[in-house]
Amino acid sequence: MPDWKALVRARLGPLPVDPARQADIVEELAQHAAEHCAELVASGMTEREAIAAALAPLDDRARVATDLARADRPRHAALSPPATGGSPAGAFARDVRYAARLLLRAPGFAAVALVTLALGIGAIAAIFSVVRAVILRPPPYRDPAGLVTFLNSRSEAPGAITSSSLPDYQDWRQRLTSFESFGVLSGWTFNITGLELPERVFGARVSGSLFRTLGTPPLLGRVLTPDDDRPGDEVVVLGYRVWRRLFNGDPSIVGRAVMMEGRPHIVVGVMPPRFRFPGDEYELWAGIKDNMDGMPRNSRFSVAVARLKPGVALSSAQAELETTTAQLAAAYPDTNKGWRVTLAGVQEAVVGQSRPALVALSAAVGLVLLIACANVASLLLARATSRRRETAIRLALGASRARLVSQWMTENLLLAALGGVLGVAIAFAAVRLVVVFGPRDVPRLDETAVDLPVLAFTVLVSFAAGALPAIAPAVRMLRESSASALKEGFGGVATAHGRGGAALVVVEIALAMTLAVAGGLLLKSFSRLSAVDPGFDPSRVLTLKVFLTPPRYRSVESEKQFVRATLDRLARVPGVEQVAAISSLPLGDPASGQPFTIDGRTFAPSQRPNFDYRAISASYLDAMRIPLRRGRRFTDDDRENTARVLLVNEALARAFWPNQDPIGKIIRPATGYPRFDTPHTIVGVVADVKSLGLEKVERPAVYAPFTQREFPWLRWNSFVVRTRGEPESYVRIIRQEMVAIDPLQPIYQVAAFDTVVSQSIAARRFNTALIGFFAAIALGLCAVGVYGTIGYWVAERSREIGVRMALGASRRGIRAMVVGRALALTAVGAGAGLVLSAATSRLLETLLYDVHRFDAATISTVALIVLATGAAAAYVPARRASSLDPLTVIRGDS
Amino acid sequence: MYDSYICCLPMSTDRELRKGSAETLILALLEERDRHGYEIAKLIDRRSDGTLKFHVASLYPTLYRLERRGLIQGRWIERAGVRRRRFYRLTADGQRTLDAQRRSWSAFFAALNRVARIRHA
Repeated sequence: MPDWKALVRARLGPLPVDPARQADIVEELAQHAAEHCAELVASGMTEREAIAAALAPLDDRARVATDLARADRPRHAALSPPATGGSPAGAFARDVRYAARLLLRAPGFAAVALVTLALGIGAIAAIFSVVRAVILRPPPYRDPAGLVTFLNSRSEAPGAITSSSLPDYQDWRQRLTSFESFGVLSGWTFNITGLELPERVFGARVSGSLFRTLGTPPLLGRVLTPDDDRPGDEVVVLGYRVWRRLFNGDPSIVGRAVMMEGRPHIVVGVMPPRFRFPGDEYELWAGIKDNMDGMPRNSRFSVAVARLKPGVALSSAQAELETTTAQLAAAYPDTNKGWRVTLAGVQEAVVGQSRPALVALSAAVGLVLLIACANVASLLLARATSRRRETAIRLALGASRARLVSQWMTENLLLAALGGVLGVAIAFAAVRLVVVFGPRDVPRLDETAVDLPVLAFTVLVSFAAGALPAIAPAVRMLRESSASALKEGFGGVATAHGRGGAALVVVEIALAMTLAVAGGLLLKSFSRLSAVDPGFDPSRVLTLKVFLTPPRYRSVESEKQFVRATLDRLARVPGVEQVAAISSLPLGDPASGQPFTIDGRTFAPSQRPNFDYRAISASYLDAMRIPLRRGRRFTDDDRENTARVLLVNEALARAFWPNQDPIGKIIRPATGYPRFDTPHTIVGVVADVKSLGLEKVERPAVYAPFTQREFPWLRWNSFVVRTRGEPESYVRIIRQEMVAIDPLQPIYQVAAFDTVVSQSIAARRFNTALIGFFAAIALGLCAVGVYGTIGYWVAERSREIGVRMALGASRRGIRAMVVGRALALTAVGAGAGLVLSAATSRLLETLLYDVHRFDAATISTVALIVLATGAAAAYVPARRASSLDPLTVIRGDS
Repeated sequence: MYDSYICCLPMSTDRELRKGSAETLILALLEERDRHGYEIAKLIDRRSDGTLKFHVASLYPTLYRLERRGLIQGRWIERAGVRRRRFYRLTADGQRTLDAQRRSWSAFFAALNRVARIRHA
């Protein structure tokens, strides 16, 4: 008689249970084997064969040990891995294969769910790429959090931010102790010559300390240092783009001289591609040297930055700055009283303006994703309902609930993973479109890319989008008792999906309605904005700019000569009706504010008038078709040696002479230089034009004859050329004429004025198009949701519909019933959407123009569209319902 | 789009079916009286004319699982002159589960019969 226990123990090996329990198990199995063996011997087997046969089932030692241990484990632990044997990885692979087969078996469901998920995930991945590039991604400066910039504003208009003045900067640098280093720059347009064609490049004159403060290492050569501020060679650091564009990325450029502003500048370094400061448009940084000496304290055109000392909080630096600001205001009341200076993080200052639009866009895309999730949840709920029978039977047959849930989740995660892959493809395409067609004035937009962090984010979103909608159906699947599900399952009616699906569709419609209202408001706002009369006639007008710089145009007189020559020469071009010059082009150039005094009136220093100043040629008003309201135009008799005259716009006349005639009044520039601050007589009032933006209220402005223009710091010039035909067709000949006037003088931004106007609202057009696009996707997804839910509702009620038809209901009546159901759902959703959009439209307020955020016409139109979408989506199920054969349905064969 | 498809049993169902039916068989045998493992295996073999077989490696995990779920209860019984044996008894929970499983199986077979004309018993 063998020692059965020893034999069994040897085969099992140690079990992961306590020793007493192991002894019990071994004893029980040994008895079984012994009895089995005895029976086999009794039936004629040799003892040796019988022992082998009785123990044979224990030969797969690992499997038996696992089975025993798992069966014997405490209850909670038994819920974890699927009891299908093999490794967890193997079980997962099986689940994935199974899930793939199920999806292939329901291609309609799979396609709709995939497209829905892909659209939602793709949209959110694309917009996340943009938000990351523009807002989230730290700029390539050392410790960007410690970098601050100085924002100046008038106390009475804290929203109107301007840059800093150089004298103020020098004082800050000497007095403030919160910072370890400072830097300053002034935007500067450089004419680069010695290339094939003269080029105009925007960049800056920067202090040698700027690069040390920013802390970005160069790509080639070196950055500027404080040593470069001393007299000596002019030096320049090139930006990556201009290095590629003008110098073909030549690595030997370092050390070479480039003719800028007519003087040789030694290229000392090239910055890496991502470096930009303070904005995208700055392409090179030249040493400041003495180019900025003597700038008055009230010309605030320079960007000042500083790096906080380690451990100094922004708030304490701000407090110190306020003390200094007060001291400066006391010392220089004429220029500094009433000015506030605030510190802002550099990144915030650069991207702050883009934030509201990006927040609104992200919210819109978030809504699209939520709608997509709701749609998928609704689809899954329907699917779970239709699989109740399968679930019930498997539960009855002893499948563990954990196993079922894990399979269900595997299925949904597979969907999500596929949706995520498609979504990434969509994101790639969308980002490409954004980079190519996005507005130029959004900083760093061109850095947008689907990179690793975006992919990681997409993976997270995909899994959330796959797992979240699956939870509700999974819970319900588990709650049901198998017996009741079996009964109901075979009976064929399941109403649970009806309720859950309807709720989801209502949520979807509410979200889509919110988005559509936003889209509608933006669209209306955009169409109102596009219809705004700019106050001049931009059609058939070509604009071009020149920036006249030393040494060829060192004196104001030489600039005037250039303007005269250009006016003369272009006027003689066949097909040109009129030519005019202006110092800053409406909608195309920033304003140049100039303080003034008014004779006979006194103003507190903080109230001192500040007018937009534009020097124009006598032909300007006619060429631009700007109406004269009173008085006279400039003529060729307004020369530099005649009495100083000005035209004012209606905004100025209204503000300062509300009930009087401003003509004949005397005003004086307040530059602080006696030779400029001479009396000027107002000789006419012209209509307001939209010079700063179609949505902006026009500021008080003066026009001076360019012949009487004296300020040396206003050296930019634009020309407008009114043509008989298409303005673009004159570009070539006008370029030739300009080369004839001065072969070394670049001209730039040659464009039809219509294009300039259109570009001034490009960012709004882009935002509107995007939100409108997302609203359309949302409505499309809703249509799918309504279609699915109503389709299910019809399927559930096919017997009821059959009975109704058998009792005489018309097919039309049935269709009306189904569409009515859809309309009821849609109406509830639209109502909820109204409440939601009322609550969220505040986000939009800054983006709207001349449209109230509760605009009744827009909201009711959108509501109608949403209802129509709901009704249209129900049409197919309604037709299906009305074409049911009552007899078949009632018999239950359908 | 929501093709409601006939309940499709996955690959693993065969295993679950066997597991589920094994449990039902054991519960049913214990409904008659308390039995020890070897007796259960023998009875299943005999009553199914050898169609269903349990061996030592498949029977005891099932018994332990049922015991763990509180459907049966095992205890060692010693009698004079006989080796001690572990006998299993059906619990009240076990009885309820057995009843429910009988109903499910009836429904299942009724359905199979309606659909595939498979008659049981």
